[in-house]
Amino acid sequence: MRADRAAVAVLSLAVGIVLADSAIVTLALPEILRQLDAEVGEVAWVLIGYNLVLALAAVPAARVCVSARRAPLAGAAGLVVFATASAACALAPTLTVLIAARVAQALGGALVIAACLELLVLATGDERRGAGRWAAAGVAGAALGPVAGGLLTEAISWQSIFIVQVPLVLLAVPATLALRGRTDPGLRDLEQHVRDRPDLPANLALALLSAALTAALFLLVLLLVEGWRRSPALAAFTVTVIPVAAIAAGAVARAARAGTRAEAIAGALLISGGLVALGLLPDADPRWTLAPQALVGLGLGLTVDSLTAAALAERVPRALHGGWTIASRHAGVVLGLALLTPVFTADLRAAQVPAQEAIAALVIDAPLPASAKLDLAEGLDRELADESGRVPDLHPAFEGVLLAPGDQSAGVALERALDDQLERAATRAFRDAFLLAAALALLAILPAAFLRPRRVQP
Amino acid sequence: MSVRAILLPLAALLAAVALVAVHVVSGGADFVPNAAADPCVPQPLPAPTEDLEALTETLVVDGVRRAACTLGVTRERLLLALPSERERLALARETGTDEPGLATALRGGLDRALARLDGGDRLPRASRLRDEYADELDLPALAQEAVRRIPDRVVDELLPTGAVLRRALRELDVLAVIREIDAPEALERRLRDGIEAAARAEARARLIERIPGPLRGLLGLG
Repeated sequence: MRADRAAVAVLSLAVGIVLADSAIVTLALPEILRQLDAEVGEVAWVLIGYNLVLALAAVPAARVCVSARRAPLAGAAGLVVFATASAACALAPTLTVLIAARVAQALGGALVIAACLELLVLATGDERRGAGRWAAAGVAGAALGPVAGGLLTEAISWQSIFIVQVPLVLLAVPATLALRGRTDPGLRDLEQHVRDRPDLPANLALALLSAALTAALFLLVLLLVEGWRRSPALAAFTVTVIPVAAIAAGAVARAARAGTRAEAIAGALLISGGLVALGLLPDADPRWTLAPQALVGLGLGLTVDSLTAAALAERVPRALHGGWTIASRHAGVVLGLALLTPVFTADLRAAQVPAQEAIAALVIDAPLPASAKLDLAEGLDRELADESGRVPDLHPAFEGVLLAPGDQSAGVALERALDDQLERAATRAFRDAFLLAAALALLAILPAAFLRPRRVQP
Repeated sequence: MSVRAILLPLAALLAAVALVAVHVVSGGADFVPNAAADPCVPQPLPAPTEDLEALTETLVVDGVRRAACTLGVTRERLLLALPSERERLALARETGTDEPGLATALRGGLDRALARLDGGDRLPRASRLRDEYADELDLPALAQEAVRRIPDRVVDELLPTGAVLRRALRELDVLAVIREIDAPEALERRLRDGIEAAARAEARARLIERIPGPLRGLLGLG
């Protein structure tokens, strides 16, 4: 039994890591952007590539893993492919190689996810418990991924995100192989069943909510790190609110006992409200993001777990329906990124002119000698040109200007005022994308309303 | 449908609306970059100053503002476009003119800004600038001393600052100045030469005016 508990732990960890990888590089993107000399639109493919392939490969991989005989071997193969591809991600010298390695990671990941659903049922010896562990590991992984990625990026490097995964994922290989030959009467029966059709409302709601949730994490992290120039560690610390609130949502759901449909609708409303609030931030202070994140986290906890359970409930083969939920979630992630990335990159570009004009006005009207302003304007022009397409750091321009002691306080005030204008421009540039994501979350209420009113089992 | 199934979404809706309301009330809709000021709104006259650098800056900034008003763009838009030929051409297209048209608007703006400073008695008298300027002239010590000893009244009558600057502006090739914005040394030389030439021409014209008509005719000075 102890071996089975260990197997459940390492298999859950593997599921968590594969699903964490969906968004684990979110906080590392600015660093990757700089190191691999890419643009925001290009670097988004590190996320899109992984999620797109995972969405496309999840159902075929699930078909391979439907049989309890094949699941352990497929799972082990998936784990090895995922680990090898993770190592390749860490060693990638260019963005193209990194994206290719991410695609390979997703192929391995699809097998791992599909196989682990069967393997967790085998290891727990209980279908509902196994499927519950699988869904919970996925939610935890998706929620904690960005935080872990941010902390590793800050403490070591973005490459360390991928290196750390290699041994952790390989830990599951012996456990997977040990489950070979393990049989479950339920499984054999299920293999002979007629295949149920996927639960369309649950999967559609999952896709739309995943799109919105990706936006919440991806956009918020970019806003914190690139827009407001906060450190990845601070951003990671800030976005921990989402997983914490997601965990708290379990208690809310248990206390409310309102059923899957009510939970999904309530969750969609909370996610939508949180995203609208993120689109209407009154200041560039990370503390303003905490309450919106709490709403998004509560929404995540209320929806993903119960929608996954609804999509799997009483449907066979289990692995195939698990595959559908994964495909839906990651198709949603891709939809979110594909819709929102062009919106906010275009808004970021459009924000440059008003920001430059606001900066020019402040410099012209600053109570500084004209010669100092001209030197400053030259420096600012250089910084703005060097950071084309990104939010610039204006401090070097001020360092390059020698101000008389009597003018230094005016210089400090001007720098603060210019930073404020940049933060305003960056925050405004993310608004439309957050609001669009909120609309996606609201849209999820439509399919959620068609969910069968099944009460979630405690 | 159970009461619980209604209460949970209702509570979620209330929480979402409340949070959005807090953000809106706290200024969430207005957290955007400052809008550029309307260039056609008149600015107050600056306090009188002897600081030439500050005065020049006031003149240029006010002139650019007035030119921007003429062109129908913001002061910042015009100022940011001036150093780059590509941006200048784009701005000219946007405002339905060409590069010489931009230069004309700038000349007009500077002229009006100058007239306003002159009318408000904000331009320093030439006698106040004489000592500073005499130091920069490459003259023998005796000549420099002679310049310093010219009575203030004579200096101010011969070289009224407003008239000298207006004459300099009239003669200035503003388009060439715009194109030299990124070459400060050439620009400074052009402006200095222009002001010196205008000062000489203004002093000459005023001296000639004081010569009695018949003598002026005899000397062939019109």
